[in-house]
Amino acid sequence: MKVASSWSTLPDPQAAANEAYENLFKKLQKPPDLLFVHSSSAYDNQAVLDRLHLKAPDVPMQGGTSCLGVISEEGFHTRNQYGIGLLGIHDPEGDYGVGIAEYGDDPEKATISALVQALDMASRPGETPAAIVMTSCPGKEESNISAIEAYLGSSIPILGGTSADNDMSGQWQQFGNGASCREGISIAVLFPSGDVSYAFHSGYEPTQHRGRVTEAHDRILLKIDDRPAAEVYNEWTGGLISDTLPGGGSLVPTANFTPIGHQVGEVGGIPYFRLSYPVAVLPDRSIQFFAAVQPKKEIVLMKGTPDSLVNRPGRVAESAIEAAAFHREEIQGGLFLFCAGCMLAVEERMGEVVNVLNKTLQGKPFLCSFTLGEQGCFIGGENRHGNLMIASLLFGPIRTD
Amino acid sequence: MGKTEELREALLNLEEARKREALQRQMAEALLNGLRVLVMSEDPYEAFEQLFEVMRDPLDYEAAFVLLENDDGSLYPLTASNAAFLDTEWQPGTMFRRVMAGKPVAIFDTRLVEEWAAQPERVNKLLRSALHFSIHTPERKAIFVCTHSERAHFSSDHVVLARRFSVLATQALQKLESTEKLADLEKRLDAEVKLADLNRKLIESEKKLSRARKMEAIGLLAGGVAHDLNNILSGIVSYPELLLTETNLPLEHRSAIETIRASGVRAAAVVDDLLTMARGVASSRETLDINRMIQDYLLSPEHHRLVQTQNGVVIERDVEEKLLPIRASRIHVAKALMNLVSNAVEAVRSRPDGLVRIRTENRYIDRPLKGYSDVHVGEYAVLTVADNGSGISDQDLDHVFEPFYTSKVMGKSGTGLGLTIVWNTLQDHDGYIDVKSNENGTAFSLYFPVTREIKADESIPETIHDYQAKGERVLVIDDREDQREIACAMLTRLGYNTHSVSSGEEACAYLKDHSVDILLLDMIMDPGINGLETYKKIIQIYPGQKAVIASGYSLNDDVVAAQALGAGPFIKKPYTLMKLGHAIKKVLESE
Repeated sequence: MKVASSWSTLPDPQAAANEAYENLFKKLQKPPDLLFVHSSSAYDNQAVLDRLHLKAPDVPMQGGTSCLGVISEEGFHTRNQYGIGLLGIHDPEGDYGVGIAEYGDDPEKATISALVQALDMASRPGETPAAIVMTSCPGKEESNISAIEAYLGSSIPILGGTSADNDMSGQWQQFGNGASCREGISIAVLFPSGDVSYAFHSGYEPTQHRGRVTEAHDRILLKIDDRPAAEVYNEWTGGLISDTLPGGGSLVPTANFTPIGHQVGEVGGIPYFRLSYPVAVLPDRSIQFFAAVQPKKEIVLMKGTPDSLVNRPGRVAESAIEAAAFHREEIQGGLFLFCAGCMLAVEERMGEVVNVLNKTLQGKPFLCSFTLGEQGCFIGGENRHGNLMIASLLFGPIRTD
Repeated sequence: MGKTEELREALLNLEEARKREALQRQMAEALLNGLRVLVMSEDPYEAFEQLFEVMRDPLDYEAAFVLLENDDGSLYPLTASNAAFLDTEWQPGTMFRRVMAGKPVAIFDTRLVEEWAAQPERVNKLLRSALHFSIHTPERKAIFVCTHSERAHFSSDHVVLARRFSVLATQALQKLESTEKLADLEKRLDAEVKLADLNRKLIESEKKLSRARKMEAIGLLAGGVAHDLNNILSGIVSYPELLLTETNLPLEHRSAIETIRASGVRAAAVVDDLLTMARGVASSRETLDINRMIQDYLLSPEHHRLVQTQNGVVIERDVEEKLLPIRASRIHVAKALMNLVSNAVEAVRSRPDGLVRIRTENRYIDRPLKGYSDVHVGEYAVLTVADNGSGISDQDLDHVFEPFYTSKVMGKSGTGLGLTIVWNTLQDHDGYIDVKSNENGTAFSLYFPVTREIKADESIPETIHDYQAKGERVLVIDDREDQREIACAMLTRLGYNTHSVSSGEEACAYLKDHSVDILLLDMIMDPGINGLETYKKIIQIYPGQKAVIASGYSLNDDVVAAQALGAGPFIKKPYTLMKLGHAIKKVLESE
C-alpha cells in the first residue's frame, strides 16, 4: 500500500484536475486504486471529475466540495477560492469501491443504493469493509449513518464530511466516480490490504451553562427549559447574539467558538460531546443547527479558542495513532475532515495546522477537506454526525504482534 | 488548550488504552487457553473441538467448523462444532480464495456471498453472518469458519482476533497432520515388518524345501542303490573276514586285508543310514517310551563299544520319570539317539572331564523355537543330549544337518549322515530340533509330540487307584480344544464328571446356572479374560470355589494372585494322569 496527496489551485477545472492527477501519479509511480477528490465549489466540478475519470477511468473516486480548498502535507491550497486536493491509494492487494446516489424522496434508500454500488464495485458484496467514508449534502447525515448501520451493522467505523461550499449558498456537491450530485451521498467502502485507524474529536470544552431541550424538531431547537432557545443561548454567551435576536439571522461565523454540545458518552466521570453548530436564529427565536437536536436531552454550551482549533487536528491524529496497531513511522497517509466553520475561524493560521499535522504524522501524505458537518466514530464505537468536529482516518500495515 | 480539555483528552486516551488492553488480554487469555488445549490433547480432532470452545467467547460465534482443501480445489468439512455443517461441500469463489491467501474475511450477510449462496437452505437458515480465516501448513490449506445467526455480527475486532487465532488453529492442523503422518508411518512400518516377516518365513520355507528336496533325492538314491551296494559290500566285508581266518596269511597282507574289511564295514554303515533315511515317513509308528529307549541304548553293545573307545567320558542320565509317550518309528528314534550320543562322545573325547548328559522332560510349547517360524501348540516329550565339548561354530551350525557335512575326516568317524537322520526323523514326526552351542558345550534337544494313547498291554499303575474319584464335577476351562480333550479324558478315566468351556467368560456364564466341585483352570487364555480374572469373577458367584491351576508357563504373578484368592495348586503342562489326579484329589480333600 502506498498513499500520496496532490493538489492544484489553477482556476481551470480541467487544468487543475490534470495538474493534481499528474503530480499524484508522479508520487505514487503507479495508478491509484482509490482516489479521494475534494475541491472547492468555485470549480465546475463535473468538468474536474470528467477529466479525472478520463485519466483514471476504472479508479473508484469519492469525495465532494470543500470550503475554499484543502490542506495537505504541502500546505493550505486555496487561491481566489479555487483549490483541489487528491489523496490516492495504490493498493492492488486491497479492494475499494464507490457508489453515489441522489436522495430523491428517500435519503435512506439512496444511502443503501450508494453503499451496495460501492460493495459491488469492490467485488465484495456481503463482506464487511474495514471502514466507510461518506460525503453527503447537509441535512440528512444522521439518516445516512443509521441506514449504513442498518445494512452493515454498527461495528464498522464510518467517517465523512458534509460537503461544503465557499459561502453557504448551497453550491455543495458530492462526487462518486465520474458523477456528481448536489442532494445526495457518495460512499466509499475500504477493504485495504493493510490496516486503518481513526479518531473523532472536537476542539471544544464544556462550560457550566446547560439546560434541557424541551422542544425541538429535527435540527430546529425551539425551547431550552421551556424558554425560547435563542434567548437562553444569548444569555449563556453573554449577549453574543443580541444584535441578531430581534429579527433573526445568520450566526456564521459568530457562533464559531460557542457551539452546543450533546453528551455522547462518559469516561471516568467526565462526559464527551458531539457538537451542533448554531447556523441561524429564526424569527420565532428558535435556533437552526447543522445537526439534529434530540428532545428532552441535556445540552451544554461549549467553548473553543483559536489555539485549541489550530492544535486540534494534530491531537486527533495523535489519538488515531494511539489507537492504531501500526506504529507512527509505519503510517502510509491519512484523510482528515475538518469543520469549515473552524477553518474559517482560524483561516489565517492554517499554516500552523499543517505544521502540527506534519509533525504528528512525521511528514506523511495527508489530505484535509473542510466540511459543514463531520461524521466519525467515537471512542465508545458510536458512529455519529456532529459539527465543529475533526475526523481522521489513517492507513498503515497490518501488525499481529 | 484548557486544563479541563487536557484532562478529558487524557481520559479518552486512557479509556481507549483500556479498551485495547482488555482486547489484548482477552486475546492473550484465549491464545493461552488454546495453546493449553493443543499441548494437553492427544487426539487432534479433540484438540479442534476444544479449540472451538476456547475460541467461542472471544470470537463470539454460535458455531464453527474447519474446511480442508481437496486436491481438486474443493473443500470439505474436517470437523465442526455443529454436525449440520459436516455434510456440506464447498467450491471456492473469490472470497474463499482471498481467505486462503491469508486474509480474514467477515461477512455481514452470507446470502450475498457466492460460496454461501450455493449452500442448501438447511445450512443457510442456521446463520446470517460469518467470519473466515485461513489455516495453513506447508502441505494443506484450510479455512476456519465461525458463524452467527445475527446479521452483521462480526466486526473488525473479530477480524483482528481471527488473524491471531489463525496461528493457533494452524498449529492444531499441524498436530492433526503429524498424527496422521505418524499413523501412516506406523502403518507402513507395520507393513514392512509384516513383509520382512513374510520374507523371513519364505526364506525359511525355501531352506526347508531345499533341504527336503536334498533329503528326498538322497532317499531316492539310497532306495535305488542301497540294495545293490549292500550286495557289493557283502563281498568286501565277508571275503576279507574269510581271508583273515587263514593262519598262514603273511603279516604284510593281513594288515591290508583288515583295512579293506574295516572300510567295507564303514561303507555298509553308510548304506544302512541311507536306508534308514529312505524308509522315512513310510516307517511304521508305535507308542514309545523314550526313557526306555535310552535305557535300551545304554545297555546296547553299540554304546558299550562307543564308551570303550572313549576312555574317561562320563555318560549321565537325567530323565523325567513320568515322561509322556510318543508315537514314533522306533528305528528312527533309536538311530537319532545313537547318533546324538555318538557325536557328543566324539565332541568330548579329547577332554579329561568329558561329560555327556542325556535328559528327558515333558514340555508344553505354545511359541516357536529358535529357527522356526511357527509351532504346533501342545505337549512334547523332549530328549536332550548335551556335551561339555568346545561347541560348534556358528558357521558349522548352519550346515550340521546337511548330508555328508562334517568337520571331521570323512569315513574316519561316522557316516556323514548322523545328524541328517536326526533332522529327518524330527521332520517326519512333526517335531522340532533346538540346538544350543557355545564354548561350554552343545545341546541337541529333540521335541517329539506326545500321545495320550496307552498301549493295550500297558496298565495303569497301582497308585492311580489312590486318585480315583467319586463322580465329583470338574469344570475344565482352557482356550485350547486339544487341552480340554486331554484333561477331560484323564479326569473321566479317574472317575470325574467333566464339563469343559473355552473361555473365562463362558465359564462364568456356565456357573450362573451350574455348580461344580472344582475348576481346572488354564491361566493364559486368548482372547478374553485370563485365568486370574476368571477366578475373580467366579468367586463372586461361588466364594471359596476350589480350583487347580494349569499352565504351560512357570509359576507367575497371576498364578500367585489367584492362589492368594483361594485357588489351589499349580500344575505345569503337560501334566500326567498321576499329577493331575494328585492335584485334584488334594484340593477336593482340603477344607
